[in-house]
Amino acid sequence: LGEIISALLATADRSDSNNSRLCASAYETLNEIVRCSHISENLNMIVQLLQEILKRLNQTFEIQITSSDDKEKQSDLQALLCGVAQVILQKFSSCHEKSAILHFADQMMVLFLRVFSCNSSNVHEEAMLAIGALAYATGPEFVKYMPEFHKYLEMGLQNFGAYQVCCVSVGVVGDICHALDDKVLPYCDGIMSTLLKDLSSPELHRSVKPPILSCIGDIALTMGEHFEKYVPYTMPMLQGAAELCFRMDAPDDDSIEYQNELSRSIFEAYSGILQGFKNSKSELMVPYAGNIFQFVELVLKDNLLRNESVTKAGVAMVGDLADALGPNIKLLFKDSKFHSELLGQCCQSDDEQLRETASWVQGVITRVLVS
Amino acid sequence: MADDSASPSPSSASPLQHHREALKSSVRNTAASRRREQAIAIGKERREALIRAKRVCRAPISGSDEAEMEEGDMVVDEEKACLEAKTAHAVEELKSALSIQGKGVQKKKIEALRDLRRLLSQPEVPLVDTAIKAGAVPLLVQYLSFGSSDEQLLEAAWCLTNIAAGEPEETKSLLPALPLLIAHLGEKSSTLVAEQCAWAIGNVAGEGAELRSTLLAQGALRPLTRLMFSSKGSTARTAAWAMSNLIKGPDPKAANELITIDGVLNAIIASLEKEDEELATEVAWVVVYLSALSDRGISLIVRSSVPQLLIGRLFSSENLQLLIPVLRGLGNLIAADDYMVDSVLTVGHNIIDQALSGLIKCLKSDNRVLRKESSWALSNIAAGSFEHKKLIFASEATPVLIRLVTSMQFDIRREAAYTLGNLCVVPTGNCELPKIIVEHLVAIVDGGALPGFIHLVRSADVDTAGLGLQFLELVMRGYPNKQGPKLVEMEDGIEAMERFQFHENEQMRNMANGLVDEYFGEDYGLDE
Repeated sequence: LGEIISALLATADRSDSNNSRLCASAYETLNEIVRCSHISENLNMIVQLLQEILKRLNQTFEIQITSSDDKEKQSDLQALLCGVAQVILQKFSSCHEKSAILHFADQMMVLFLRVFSCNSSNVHEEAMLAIGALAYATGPEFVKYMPEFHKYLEMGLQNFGAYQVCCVSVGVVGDICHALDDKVLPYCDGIMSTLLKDLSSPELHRSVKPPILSCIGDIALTMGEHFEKYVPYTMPMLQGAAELCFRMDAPDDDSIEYQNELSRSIFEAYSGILQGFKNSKSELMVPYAGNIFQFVELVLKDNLLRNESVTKAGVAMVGDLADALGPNIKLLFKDSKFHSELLGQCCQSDDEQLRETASWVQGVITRVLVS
Repeated sequence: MADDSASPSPSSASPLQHHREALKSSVRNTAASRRREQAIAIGKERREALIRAKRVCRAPISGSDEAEMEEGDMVVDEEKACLEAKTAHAVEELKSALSIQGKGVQKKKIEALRDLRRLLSQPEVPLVDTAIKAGAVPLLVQYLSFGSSDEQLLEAAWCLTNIAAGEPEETKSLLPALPLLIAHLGEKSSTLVAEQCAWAIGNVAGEGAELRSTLLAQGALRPLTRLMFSSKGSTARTAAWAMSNLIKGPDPKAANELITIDGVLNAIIASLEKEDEELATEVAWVVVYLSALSDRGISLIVRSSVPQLLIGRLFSSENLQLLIPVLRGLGNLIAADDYMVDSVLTVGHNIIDQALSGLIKCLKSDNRVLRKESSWALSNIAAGSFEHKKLIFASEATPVLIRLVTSMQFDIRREAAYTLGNLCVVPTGNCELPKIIVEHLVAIVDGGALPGFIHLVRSADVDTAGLGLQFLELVMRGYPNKQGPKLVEMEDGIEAMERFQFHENEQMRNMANGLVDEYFGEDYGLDE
């Protein structure tokens, strides 16, 4: 295996390959090898590979730029190298040996941040993905990079033109929330105000908006009671998105898929907010409970067991509503037969996760009704 | 009229460069896309795990944050461990009760069974796996022995019912119990015991085709059929539910065998005639699977009073749980056998009016399943005789269908489109274009359906796009005073059709290009 890796690195580095397709294929093959390898058996080899990748990434900054072709070549190479780094980080992020990789965290962040000085949005996207993987692998210690990194993160979130970068940046916000937990608080004002602007911007490609809603759920879950100040701004956005779900025409499969994606992300946002407030300020959500319940009822009535990810998110959200607000909304559940029919069917689903979630929800609702 | 200038001839280097660029872009974009998708998938997975983990944490009323967390975790773990220990203990009690003799043994058995049943019935912590690993199933099989008291049999069957409601592997663990569960369906056992056994068997059958085959091989079909005849409502309901699970396929063998059992059709009819809507619901599901899987079943059912009874339910009931299988069963029958439209739903009879009223009620419903399946059933009726088309056209269905075709979800829109399309044509026997019913076409177009059909033309689904194109052909050919092409143009129909100029599907390409050439060729506009 070591020989294959060496051969691939040599292939990617061949000076006779003006054919950049060869270079790209070599690095992509490396990615697949990393994905398939067993860390315990190949730890040293992968550490060496990472060191080599970082060395090459560093070398890209010394390329003499004399033409737009040179610029493009530099960007392409940086993108490919960031890609390999990302795959290695993802591989290590949930195992015990990750300290071997995190030894290089400082060096990686310096290099990734330098990549952002390039103009090409393609390489920004790759660097952003790599930083997200690094944040998750690093955990709370990632906070030391935040003062420098959050500037680029907000730039990414504001990048309407290259909406793929914007979308990836939104995903990275979620990674950072998971990694830092409450340490992310100092940066939330900037992130939230940017996300809310993104949501209301007609310039931003619509495919980015569902991930933003889910991301707001991640932020709310992380911030807990501190999310209170954003409630007056967030809830109108969510209600507007909910109305859009029913107002929009759905002439083709793409539109149906977008509608489903939007419904699911609204559910995820509400779930994050409800769970975030559950032990502290759940009463803040009581005024919105009726609207939320009506929305989930309408969506699931129309989608019942036809789209599993939407159903799963909706069922979970019903449980979160009962779990967080409890006796305050007992009347909603008493007045509605819908949820018992829904849960009865979900408990018979072939999907194990859906059955598990539905059973949990039944238990929560039962406790609410007898309280 | 387009300019007919020739494009400049390309330089010799251009094709090669274009080819290379495309390849490079393709490799990079594909790879980046794959990484992005993987990052997104990982993110979703983490989010779900986090949400789920938080959901099981129950915070005590008071205490510091740290103590709260610890205590919450401990309470959950402790509670689960405690219940698991109780379950293992209950199974041990089952075992010991079998090995003692003398006075009080029966009471001890019942108490042991009841303890286990209560544990298996609580919803918060799944205990089925614990019970199975402790050896519950073989013991319960012994408790099902013939000659045991009804109370004992009932409790044992109840435990097995809840075990069968667990995970797939847990359901499969019931295999040793199946012969006795099936045996108790018969006349030797009381109705109460038989019903509980039917419930357990229904849960097993619901798990999958493999277990259904096992149940059928062990002879579950006939005693379950007999149980469906029961005069006790809950027993008949449970048996019908279990039966619908048992015959649901995909192998049609069970459905074909069921329809040959003497008296089964009469049992279905008798159940549908009763007031009990829950019973009718379960029996309707049996009809759904018979009509979906058994040709012989279809032939017998359409010539019985089942269609009239289903139509009566469709017409009079507002119960969604009942309407869904009733509608689907009728839809299956209408689609499968011309006898339904030609001889049962004869124009001029009361039954067709009731059927139409019921279908229109479903079309107007806010339930997606009802909307879609009623559209589907109507499209098959609308494919019938000219009298059927006139009847549907004159009814409330037409404006509802026009709304559906222009504003609803893709799959419902398509069914509505089939119905509206069928209302506008009388098929000829040969390969000629169908004859147009001008009155219907004009009303449907003037009613606002045309934009909906043009949306269909833009669909990525070839069959759906073809349906849209066929309707545009009708409009352009048949709308009076040659106004059809203009109407299509006003709704951007030309652009929709021109998308097929280089389509990979030759038939679609030829159809679309042919229509554009014929109706928007060099003569277009000269009439004015």
